[in-house]
Amino acid sequence: MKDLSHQLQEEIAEKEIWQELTHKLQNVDLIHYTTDKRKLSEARVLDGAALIQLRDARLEKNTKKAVAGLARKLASGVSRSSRKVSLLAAKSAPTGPVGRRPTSKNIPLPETSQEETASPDTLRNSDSGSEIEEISDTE
Amino acid sequence: MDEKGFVMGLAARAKVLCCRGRRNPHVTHDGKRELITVIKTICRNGSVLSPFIINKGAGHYLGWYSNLSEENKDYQFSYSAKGWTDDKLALEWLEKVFEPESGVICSGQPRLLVFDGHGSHITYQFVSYCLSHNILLLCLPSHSTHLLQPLDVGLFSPYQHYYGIEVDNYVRSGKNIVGIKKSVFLPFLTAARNQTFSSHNILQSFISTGIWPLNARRVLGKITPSTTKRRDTLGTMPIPKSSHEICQRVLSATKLVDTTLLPIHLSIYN
Repeated sequence: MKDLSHQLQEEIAEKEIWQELTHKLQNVDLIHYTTDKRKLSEARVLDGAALIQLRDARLEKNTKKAVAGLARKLASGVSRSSRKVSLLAAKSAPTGPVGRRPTSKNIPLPETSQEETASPDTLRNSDSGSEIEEISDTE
Repeated sequence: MDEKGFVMGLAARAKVLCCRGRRNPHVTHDGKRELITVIKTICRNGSVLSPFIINKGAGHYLGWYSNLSEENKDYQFSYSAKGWTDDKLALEWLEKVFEPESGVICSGQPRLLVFDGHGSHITYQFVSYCLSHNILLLCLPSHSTHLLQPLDVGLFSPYQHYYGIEVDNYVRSGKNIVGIKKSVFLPFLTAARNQTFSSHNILQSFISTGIWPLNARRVLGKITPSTTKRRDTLGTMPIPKSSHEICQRVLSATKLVDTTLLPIHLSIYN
């Protein structure tokens, strides 16, 4: 009989705890985020402090998301442009250094202009056009 | 405590300065008629409890609280389908605003809650919560809040006025591109609250209603007996046109009462 009464007491205590828990759980506000509608919360009543926290958290999340999106875009843009550059380089390789032109994306390319490649003698010849004319006149 | 509905786009009466001779001078205002309910509570010591703001909607949205500042930390925000209060929200107000804040002010002593006879205040849950938390209830008689409710008598009118001025200033500043939204409502409300709910105004409204210090003559002096309609038990009594008619009526009335109680000048007609 003692064992039975002890068991009964335990069961009653468990039931009471269970009732308390269910009562508390009913009062817990359901807060969940829905990104599409930009709903902060579905809790019926919230105070200003809680709303400020929620708002700041949401804004932080949004900014992080935006930054990550931008970074992703930038990375994809860079890879695409580098691929373009490599393709262009591959195309212009047999034609020699004269065929290379700077791209519209302002990507720094190893400049190999005519000035660098041309020898000082040729430069002098080009500058001295008048001299050649003079020679031809004399001829 | 009492509820106050704010029509968001309603500004105060505007004065327009214009050139002499100009016809129909006007100022364009926002015509938004969305209602936001604010539950306000004032105390006899001149303090005011945090407002309980009920927005119209299906949840708390990010855009509503973009201008929420540290000053509004203690405010309570809620929502309902139409922007009105209901039984649940009245109970929430009691649990989250009145009980904790007035408990600090009264330091455990019994509190008297004066309210009107709105249906949301007279529910089983509301009353049982009050009784279990040492809150005494006083429901004002119907059609008497214009005389007995301190918020209605002295505070809600300037509250609405200052809110209207804020809306008016906003409209005139040229910022009203997208209309009066809930995000700008809150700063307007805070500004109006700071200007209206001063300690002096609160105490004056209690005095003018005769609630504290208790003075029944304050209210009774405002009530004047109606003279337009005179009614007896049979219905409306037409106004007599001659003295003879008056005498006839008095005599017919005296037949119903004891003649010995009549004054001497009337007994001669008998």
